Amino acid sequence: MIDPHISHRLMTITHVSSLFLMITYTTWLYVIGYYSFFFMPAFLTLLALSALLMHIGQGINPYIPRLLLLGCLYLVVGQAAFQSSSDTSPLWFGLPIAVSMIFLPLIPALALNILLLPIWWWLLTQSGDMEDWKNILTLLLLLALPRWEHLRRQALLFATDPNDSECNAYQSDALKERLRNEYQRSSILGNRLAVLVIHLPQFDMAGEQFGRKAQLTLLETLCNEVNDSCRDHDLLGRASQATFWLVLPDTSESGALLVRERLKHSLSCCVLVETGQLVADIVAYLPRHQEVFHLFIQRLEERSHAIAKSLPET
Amino acid sequence: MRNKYKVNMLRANLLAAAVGLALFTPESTLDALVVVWVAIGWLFTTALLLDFSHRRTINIPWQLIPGALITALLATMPESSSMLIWAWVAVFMLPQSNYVIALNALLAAISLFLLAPYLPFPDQWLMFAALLMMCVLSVARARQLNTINGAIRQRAQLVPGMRIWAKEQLARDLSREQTRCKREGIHAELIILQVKRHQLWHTAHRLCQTTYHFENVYRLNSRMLATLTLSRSSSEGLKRRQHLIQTISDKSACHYIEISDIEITELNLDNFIKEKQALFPLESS
Repeated sequence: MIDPHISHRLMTITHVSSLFLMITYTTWLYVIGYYSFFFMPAFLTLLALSALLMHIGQGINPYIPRLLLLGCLYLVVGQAAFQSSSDTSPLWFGLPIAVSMIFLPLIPALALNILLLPIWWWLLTQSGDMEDWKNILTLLLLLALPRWEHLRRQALLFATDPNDSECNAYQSDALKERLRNEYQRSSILGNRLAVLVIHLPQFDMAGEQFGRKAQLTLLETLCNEVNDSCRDHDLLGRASQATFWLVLPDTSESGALLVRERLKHSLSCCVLVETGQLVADIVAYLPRHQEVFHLFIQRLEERSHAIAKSLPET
Repeated sequence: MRNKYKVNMLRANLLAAAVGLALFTPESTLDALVVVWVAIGWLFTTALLLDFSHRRTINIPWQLIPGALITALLATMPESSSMLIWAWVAVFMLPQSNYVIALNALLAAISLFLLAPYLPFPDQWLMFAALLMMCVLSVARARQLNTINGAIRQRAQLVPGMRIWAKEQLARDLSREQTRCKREGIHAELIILQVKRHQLWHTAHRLCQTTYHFENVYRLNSRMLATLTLSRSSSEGLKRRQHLIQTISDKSACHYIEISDIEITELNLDNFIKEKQALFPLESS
């Protein structure tokens, strides 16, 4: 999740209070008699109102009301800078930049502000105070920092999280790492090791016919079923899109075949709404005597591909 | 590769921001100059220290530094750098603990007061309202990120590619290994090492190198590491333990316990680590 959305209620409060500030500002301009100033904020108040209504209404992309509000801000600050530059504190130039960094994802926010830089430049040449130019630039750079930090953390978590993002199983790299560990453990401590390759032939079809949600349900059902019927230290991991490996430490060939039959039975009992009965091809696989790990995993991968391509074997 | 790119973008942004701040220097008075250079120095050091791991994100309230720097900048040159008041939004966007948020809010209030005399009355209130709103939004967003990430962090590797895990993982692994070892007839020991704070990560790396791939290393707190060693018999376990102690020379104390002796049902890891009576001391030979 790169850009978590701000909660709906909080955004409603934000929209309402922005509208309130806009109305106050417009009224204040009217009261002190800045009539030449008055029309733009009055128009923008209506725009802010429509943004609020859009936000409350259902089925509209949440970024549209935010963009409208942001546009209001840019215009009101731009007008204040243009028409009465001597009265307006340069402080206000920073406001729309800060808001854009909160409302929008990082890259669009940066792009928008960089595109607007020439306009700031032009406005500042009009008022003759070029000192603020560097302030705007520095502020923009400072405001972008935490967002980059967020991205870095997300990437870091993605790199270090052993779980797959779509289901409760190890992701491919973590799976291979764990399999390697188990392989070493079995050879050093003298245990046996077996791997079950589980392929879901319905996965692609479910995606094409029923969409992503059906796929996710399929994955979830498989993971729950396998995790329920296995021991705590058996490792389930997703080797590719529709293929899972179940690593069974300390298991002989007959034990693996037993697990296979048990799994086949329990999986065939699962019936899903869209795809019907859950079908899974399961093949048991054991390392050869004194086989090097990378050869073993190579054979395992080749076998997984073969199962995925060929028709289900029993 | 994609990850490297994100770290490098952050680093570039940090350096650019430092250069941006350097543009403030010509018109500054002496005290402002000091603050500006401290801020630049901080940005530079952060850019240099930046790495791609969970090491530095733990429990240090470093988010107070940018807050204090902004306040100092606004205090020393309130007129020329008034726009930096909006940088508070950036500070509150950083994920931080509750008391740091409170302290930063206090600093933000102080900087508002510092700036207030230079603004007309309506501007003051407008600024206050806008800043309050934006800071609340930023904090909400940062907290949401924190809750998503907190769950992952408990099960994630602390350094990409290394077998170093968080304390929470140890609790899960202990109960798993206990049943497994009983079934497979394997001798397993939990070895706890106390090290100096600055040597923690170095020792953790050494531990990873000396143990097998299937044995994990855990970071218990800023001064304690643990590892689960597995061997065929207790005599082999003793040999491995001694070997481990000889290899890891920079520890200050270490303890061990056979994991069959641990009561998993009553295990409270924090108490367990504090109560050393349950652990047998190891003598380095």
